[in-house]
Formats: sequence, C-alpha cells, structure tokens
Amino acid sequence: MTTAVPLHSEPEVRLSFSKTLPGWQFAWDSTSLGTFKECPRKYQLSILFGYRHRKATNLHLRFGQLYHRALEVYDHRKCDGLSHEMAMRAALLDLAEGCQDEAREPCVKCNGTGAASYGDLPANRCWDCEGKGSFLITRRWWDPNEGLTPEKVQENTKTIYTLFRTVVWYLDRFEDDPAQTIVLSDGRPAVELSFRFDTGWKGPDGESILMCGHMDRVVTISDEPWVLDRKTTKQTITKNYTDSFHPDNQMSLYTAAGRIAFAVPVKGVIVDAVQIAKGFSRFERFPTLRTEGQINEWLEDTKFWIGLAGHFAEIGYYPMNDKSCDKYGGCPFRGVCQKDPAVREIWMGDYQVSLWDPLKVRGDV
Amino acid sequence: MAPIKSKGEASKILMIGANGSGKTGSLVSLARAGYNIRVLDFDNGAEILYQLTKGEPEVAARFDVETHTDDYKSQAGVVQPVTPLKGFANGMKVLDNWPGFGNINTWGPDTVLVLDSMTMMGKFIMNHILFLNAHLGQNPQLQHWGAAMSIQEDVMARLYSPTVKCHVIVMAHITFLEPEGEAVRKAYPSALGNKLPPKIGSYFNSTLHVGVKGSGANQRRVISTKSTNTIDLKTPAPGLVKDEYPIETGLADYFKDLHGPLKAA
Repeated sequence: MTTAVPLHSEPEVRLSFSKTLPGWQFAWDSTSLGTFKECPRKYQLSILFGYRHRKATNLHLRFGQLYHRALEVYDHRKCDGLSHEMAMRAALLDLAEGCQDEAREPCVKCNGTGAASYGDLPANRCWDCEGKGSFLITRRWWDPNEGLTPEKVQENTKTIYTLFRTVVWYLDRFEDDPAQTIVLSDGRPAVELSFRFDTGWKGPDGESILMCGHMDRVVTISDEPWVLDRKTTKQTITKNYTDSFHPDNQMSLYTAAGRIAFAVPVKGVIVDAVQIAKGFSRFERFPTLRTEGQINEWLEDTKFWIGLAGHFAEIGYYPMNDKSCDKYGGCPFRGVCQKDPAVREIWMGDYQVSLWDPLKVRGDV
Repeated sequence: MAPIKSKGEASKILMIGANGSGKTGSLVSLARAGYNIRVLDFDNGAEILYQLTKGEPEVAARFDVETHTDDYKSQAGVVQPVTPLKGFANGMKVLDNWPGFGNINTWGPDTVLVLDSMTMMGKFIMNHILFLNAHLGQNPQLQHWGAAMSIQEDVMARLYSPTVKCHVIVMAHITFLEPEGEAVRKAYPSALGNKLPPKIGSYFNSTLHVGVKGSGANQRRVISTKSTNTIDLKTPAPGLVKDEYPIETGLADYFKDLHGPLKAA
C-alpha cells in the first residue's frame, strides 16, 4: 500500500526518526503521540510530513509561546539575582520584542551569511550588516486578529493587551511564589527542562524507543519536587476544566518522566492555568495526580499505540480515524481527506511544511 | 469458568463515627490481638492510645504514631495556617517512607495502617491547595474545592490499591447530607464537599460505624456492620460477621471473623 499523500520531497533528516526505516519515529513526545491517537492519517500528514495549513491562525500557539517565554525570562533573571521588579521589567521588555514582527532584507555583501571578506583580509564578520546577514526594513506589532473572521475578532480575548496584563498580574500574584523554581547543578533554573528516557521497548528497526519532552518548570513546594505546567484558556476554570487533564496524554507522560527520568522522583504535575477574558485574567493551580497503577497502565497503553505506529510505518499506510474529523476544533486536513485519494496531492498546495522533531533541543533565553 | 474464591485480600475499612465516639481507642484491641498498628494522625488525637495501653508495654510497643498537622497563628484577629505547611505534604511523605518501616507497599497482613482522620486530612488538603494558589487564609473558591476533592479521592484510591497489602483503616467523622433523589438526610463519612461523601465508601471493602446504643446505665459503645435507615454500612462477609461488636474488643473480633486469628510471623 502507498501513502495517501506522496511526500513533497526528500524529508530533511530529523533526530527523532529512524535512518533505516522511513516513517518510523522512535522518539515520541506528547504532541506526536496525541496526534497519532487522534487519527493515524492526521499523524502522517502533520507529524511525518509536517504539513500545516497556510491560513491556519497561529494565534493560540504564539500567544501561549509568548506567555511561556515571558515567565521563563522572569525565572532566569530571578535566578541571576535580580529583584522581582527588575526581573519583571526584563520579562516585559523581552515580551515587547516578541510581540513585534520584523521585515528584513538579506545583505547583498555577505549573501545573508553574516560573514564577508574585505580586500585581502580573510572572511570575517560582515561590516555592512554587522554580522546579522540582513537589514531591518520595518518592524510592526503582531496583529493577533490577523486571519480571523469578524465574528472571531469580536470573541477574541488573546490580544497584546491581555498578554501583557496576564504576565503582569501573574508575576504580581505570585511574587512570593510557594512554588520555588529548582536551580540545577549548573546554576540554571529548571525551566523549559528537556527530558528523555528509554522505555525499554524496541521499534521495528530494532532500536530503542524513547519518550521525550520539555517541562515548563520544575519546582519545590513544601520541599517536594513537582512539575509545573502552564496553560492558557478562555474557559472558566471549573471542575470540568480540571477534569480534562485526567486522563491526559501529556500529564501522564510528565508524571511518568518525573518518576523515571529524574534523579529525585517528582510528586506529580501541577497545572498552572490562566483564564484569559476580555476584562480579567484569572489564575488557578491544581495538581493532576496519577497513582503508580495508572502510570503503569498508561505506559502499557502507550506501548500498544507506538507498536501500532511501528506497524503502519512498516506497511507504509496510515488509516483515517473518521470519527475524529469534527473534533478538536475540526481537523485541518478534512478538506484533503474529503477528496478522492487520486487527486489529494493537488489540494496540498494550501499547506506548507514545518517539520516536528521531539528530540530537537529548544533555544535557551 | 473460574470458580469464585477468596483472594485473601487485606481489609480496607472505613470507620465512621462522631467526634469522641471511640474510633481511635478501638484500635487497642487490634494491638492486643498482635497486629502492628501504624497511625498517620492528622487529628492530633493519639493521646488516648497512650492512656489505654499504659499498663501494657508490649501492646503499647505495637503502636507507631506519626502526627502531622498544620500550625496556625493569630494575626490581627485572623487565625491562619503557618507556612511552610506540614500537615498534608508531610503526611504523604510518610506513606512513601515511614520512619523505620519504609514504604507502606512493603507492609504485610500483620500490620494495620490507620489514617486518622480523613476529615482533618481534607482540611489540610484544602490548605495545601490555597497555599499553591497564594490564597492561604482566604475562603476557598469553587475551583479549589474541585482540586482538593480530587486529591482526597486520590489518596483513598492509593490506599485501596492492591499494591498496599497491609490492612487499612481510615477514620472519618460524620456529616449529614440529603443525597440526590432522596428525601431523607443520611449520615456519610465527612469528606470534602457534598459529592465526595456518598461515593468515598467505594474505596473500601468494609464500612463500619462507631456509635452509642442504649441509654442511661445501659448505654454502651458499639461497632456496627449492618446498615440502617440513616447510614449505609458494608462488609464483605454478611452473615459471617456480627451485626455489632462491643467497642472494647470489636475490631479484633471483626478481624478474626474475617481473617481468622493472626498467624505468628
């Protein structure tokens, strides 16, 4: 059997994918595992091939990333010894930069490399563009409403104003935070902490299967270590919201990782949630706990799911789960899957490629 | 078809009774029967055990009590917990590593883990949630109740798990609620909120009530196993156990009826 949509070109080498069995992902994170559970076909298109709809609004993703980054900057500056006020100031300055989009023109002298030679001197930092490889043409504020329909614009609570408000209110609320960020042995705060562990299972290529991910923050509360995971939502944080994290792929993975991958096992995961409304931001923290039995069950289930992914990789075919098409806000590939398999490639022009790689290390602030 | 047979599981008992009814003191009969009794004490009410075993050093030696409570202070007329909070967090640490006896998962059927009481533990859980949300000393809001109830239920689930092979007794005070669809108020174990008390019994294979029967000179404290109109009780061996036991020997007799005499190690 062949893939439903042919590959656009030879994929770049990704750290999390097998070099010997095309399409086999040996390092899994909660995003790739969760997508596979939703629909193997969606997994193939979005994770294996990396397709993203060109018109898909990245409002929630960018808002969440900026929020996370601002708090990460604050944690780093506090760890560096700055006061609450100065650390907040650094976070807000960084946030302001993050909320701006730049249009740049490549430097002709260095062809965008940042290095150039002048006369007989060997190639060094390009003096024309000061080593940046490009010139700033213009800078404008990110427009969170870009790409939204007029109705969605009316409803939208994620704006630059609410982003700044949320960060300031959060830092003020938790100035004397009962959750103290752990400082690692190298002096860095335990924020955006990457983890990976060997599951002990083997993939169809005979290699080990890894679980990996990034924890927002590892803290101590009453001298006990916990993982703190930040979430933004427009929902009111009621029991319905807190219940949505159990069962939950990501929380179960973090709990398992916290017990397996760390020298000192963590107690569990605390969801550090914020409701973003037009007139307020409301913060709530709640633990989402797993018993040993539940973690063992989740690992057993995960072994089953990844085994299934291995089988699909071997046969090169990923079936649709047509019960998931209207869930999770509607699948971005529904328009493609509605077409006859023979013509689907034509409709992929609406998508661009952005490859997902769980083992790729995230940048530091 | 597999025939039904006993798995020989440990007793997981929910023991409910009003404050001062004799729940904690009833444990002495188990110690006299040879069981090791390890009490995770949230009520700070273990003094009765010392008083009842004063003349019996070998019985007293079978008790090990870990008391963990939150401290409180009064400031400007407001009483609020002192941080760092000790009650719930330290209590849970002890379940993982009881001083001198290790993780509770390593204990056997000659040992009884007692949690006294679930009601007070609930209060410390709520303090923990409020502390987490920088709300300590303030009234809990709706979302705090949900989070605290989940934690309390998770603790019960942990104790009910087959990985905990020792016997477990959880003490609870009583609360009266009118369950959905019923016109009568019934007595339930006092847990957080209104939704948790009617279902917390699911985490136990026995629910016993400690109360007073009779009046005047005939008044006596008993441990009941049989449900009434106002309180739902349960036992895995109806007909094999008695409807009620005297409090002085009740727990030991109940254990003997369920499991036989304790075998020497």
